[in-house]
Amino acid sequence: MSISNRPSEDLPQKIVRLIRVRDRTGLVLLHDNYSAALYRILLERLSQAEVAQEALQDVLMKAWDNMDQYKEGKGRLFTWLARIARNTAIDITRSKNFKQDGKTQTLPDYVYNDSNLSEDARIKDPGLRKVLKTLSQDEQRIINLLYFKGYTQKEASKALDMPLGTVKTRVRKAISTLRSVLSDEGIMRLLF
Amino acid sequence: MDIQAYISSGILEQYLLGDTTTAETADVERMAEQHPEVRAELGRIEMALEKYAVMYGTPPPAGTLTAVLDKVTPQTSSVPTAEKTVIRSGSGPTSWILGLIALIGIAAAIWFFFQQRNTQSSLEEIQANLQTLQEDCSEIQAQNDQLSRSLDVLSSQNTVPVRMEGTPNAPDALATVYFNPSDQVALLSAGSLPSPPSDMTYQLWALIDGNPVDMGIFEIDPASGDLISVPFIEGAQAFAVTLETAGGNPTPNLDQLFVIGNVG
Repeated sequence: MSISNRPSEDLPQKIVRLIRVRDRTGLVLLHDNYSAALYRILLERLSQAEVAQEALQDVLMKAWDNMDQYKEGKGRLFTWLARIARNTAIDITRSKNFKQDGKTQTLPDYVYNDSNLSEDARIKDPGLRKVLKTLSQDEQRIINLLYFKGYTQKEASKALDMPLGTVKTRVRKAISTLRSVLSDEGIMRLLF
Repeated sequence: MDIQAYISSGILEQYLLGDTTTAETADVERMAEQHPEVRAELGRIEMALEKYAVMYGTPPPAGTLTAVLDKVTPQTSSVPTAEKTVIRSGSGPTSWILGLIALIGIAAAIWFFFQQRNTQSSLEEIQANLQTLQEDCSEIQAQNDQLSRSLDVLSSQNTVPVRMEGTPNAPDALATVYFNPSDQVALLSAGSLPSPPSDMTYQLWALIDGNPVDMGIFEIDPASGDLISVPFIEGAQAFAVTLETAGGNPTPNLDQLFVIGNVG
């Protein structure tokens, strides 16, 4: 992802409008801009690529079918989509034939053999690598656990062997750091 | 309730991370509706998390979009590829932008056309003004030359002013011939002659041994200055002005003698 691929301010409005009038271009735009983020959320929770891909198709279909239920005033489009993705993942993990190799088993691997630490290398844009570095490893781990992996704060506290209060504080601080650093000015400051 | 304390409690982050109970979720949504500060804060956290997720997204396996598009319109036989649809998705804004550029181009062309026309007309105006000024200038130059010559005549010690007094036809009239035999030039000042009737004209005569010699007709034109160049007549002993029929006459009508004066 490069900066130019970040969703622009009016893109969500356009997607919502197009999908509501059943224009498939809206679905294409939604996929092009949000699928990777949604897929990450699904993959981290469902672990299996095939299952996650099916779930993603499910999420896109739900967005197509239920766009009228999205209320612009209540939150951003992606927040709505992420919630659909979370609920879809929860539905799948609760179904009988889902092979439970999620949280509990992969937890130690995830925490101590952290693949996320190599994420710096995946990000090609040097500016965005700097963004990542402004978050401490703890902050990054907590965000990833809570946001992508779908841990509750309690679960994260247990997994990281960290008091619940500390987890709460770190989450807030991490998001606050993200806020300042992911604002456009913040990115410009890091790039130059 | 202290809104600031509510905002900094961390519940908003928890809500957006999907880690709130049903009751907490309802509470956050109610607070967001009632307090714009809470809504604004939620928006900022949403934006940060969204950017983070988009940045660290994992591209899904190819074919995901195609499968969904097929489900959306099963009757369509042609399978749109990702590339095709991406191009198509770009055609909306692209054509819009192209339209805008074309519009701006047309507007600019019209503007430049009128601008150019304005420039053209102001250029023509300036050229006309310049021509007028040049004409004025030559006219003034000519006047200046004449005045300069007149001044030369008047200031010359060899110039003799010949006063012509008014006759009973015009008792108050007065005219002067400046007569310079050494340079052989003569000037007429006819300032105080009354304006002639429209079908008549004044004529100047030189008198040599009692015989009149025609020195030409003249007009009284205060705008052209008081001094009129007239022919130099060698041996003139007196000068006189008569009122003649338009165009002048070979011999003077002495009944209409207006002014007369002797040289010396």
